[in-house]
Amino acid sequence: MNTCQYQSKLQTYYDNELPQDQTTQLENHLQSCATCQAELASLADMSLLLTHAELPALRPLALEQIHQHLDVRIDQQVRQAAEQGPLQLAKWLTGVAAVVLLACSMQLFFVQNSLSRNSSAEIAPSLAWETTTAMLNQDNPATPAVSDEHSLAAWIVSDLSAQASGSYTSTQE
Amino acid sequence: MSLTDDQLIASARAGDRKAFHLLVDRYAPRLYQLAAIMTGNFNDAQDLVQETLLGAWQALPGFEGKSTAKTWFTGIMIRQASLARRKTKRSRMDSLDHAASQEPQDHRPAAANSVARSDARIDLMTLMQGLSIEHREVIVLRELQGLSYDEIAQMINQPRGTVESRLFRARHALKQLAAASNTTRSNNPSQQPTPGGEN
Repeated sequence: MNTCQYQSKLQTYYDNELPQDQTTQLENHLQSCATCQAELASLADMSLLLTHAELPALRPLALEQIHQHLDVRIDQQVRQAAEQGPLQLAKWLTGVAAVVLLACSMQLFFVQNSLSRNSSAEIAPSLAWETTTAMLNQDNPATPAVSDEHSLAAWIVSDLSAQASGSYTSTQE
Repeated sequence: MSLTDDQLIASARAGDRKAFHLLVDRYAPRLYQLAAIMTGNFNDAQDLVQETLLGAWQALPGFEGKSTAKTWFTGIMIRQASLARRKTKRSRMDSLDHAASQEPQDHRPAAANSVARSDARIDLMTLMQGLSIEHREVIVLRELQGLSYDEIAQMINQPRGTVESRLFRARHALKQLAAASNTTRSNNPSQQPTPGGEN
């Protein structure tokens, strides 16, 4: 077992990945360390085993099959792309249409909301009798706001009737 | 005069399929060898090469020329191998040689069986099957493809330090496997190599 402190650097050195300054240092060390020399030789043996081993060769027939298979798959992809072209366009257009529809719906919703707010402000002004009562109460809180209760009731009824007929008219419109 | 890789890739990028087939002629044999070692199975190796080359064709528009064609193809093969592993959960021992299933039954463990049929080529493939896929990857990339640590790190999407430590462990494991294999053969002369066929 290699217990030399340079052990961790041997592989990096062997693979030519060690920085130059450390390379020089390690090479100096190697001259005197038999353990590291043996470890380095072992790495070289491993490389020899791997690089000189007879590897399976691709037979001409297999290569031909690869070419054919490749052509078939590429043709398939080209066909699919051609078929999917209009489909993609249709999908894209559908998406655009959906976005436009959504935008229009939201626009319509906001416009309607704004209109209904404006019209309700016009339709429901503060009632005249309420305003008057409040003013009278403010002027003289000690005395009754309206002395004649019947007149007040009639006023309220007429006011509300006018209001109701106004709403009815606006609904008709 | 034969065209360079860069010229062929440029033509292939422009849609010249003939140029791409020339690249295939140039690189498929080496890719097949690496694939055979990675997968341990000749049929899977051929499939992997086909998927790699198809992946390369698809990736042509994105090829920036920052790496060599060899590194580029190898990187695609590593990714395709990883995808294939995720797709299929085949047993490692269910492999090595399709023809083996047609040979007389042998109840020894698959690895030992492989050694019995081995010549130098099969022997290396068998040994490599004793390694984890991560170890096989770094051994193939470093020892057989001669890639730098940085290139390997980029290819397997791991830090350089991980590449170094993984390579160290892979070499150590391979050394042990080789030693064990030699011991087995010297103890069992009947398991001496016999000529083996492939695909």
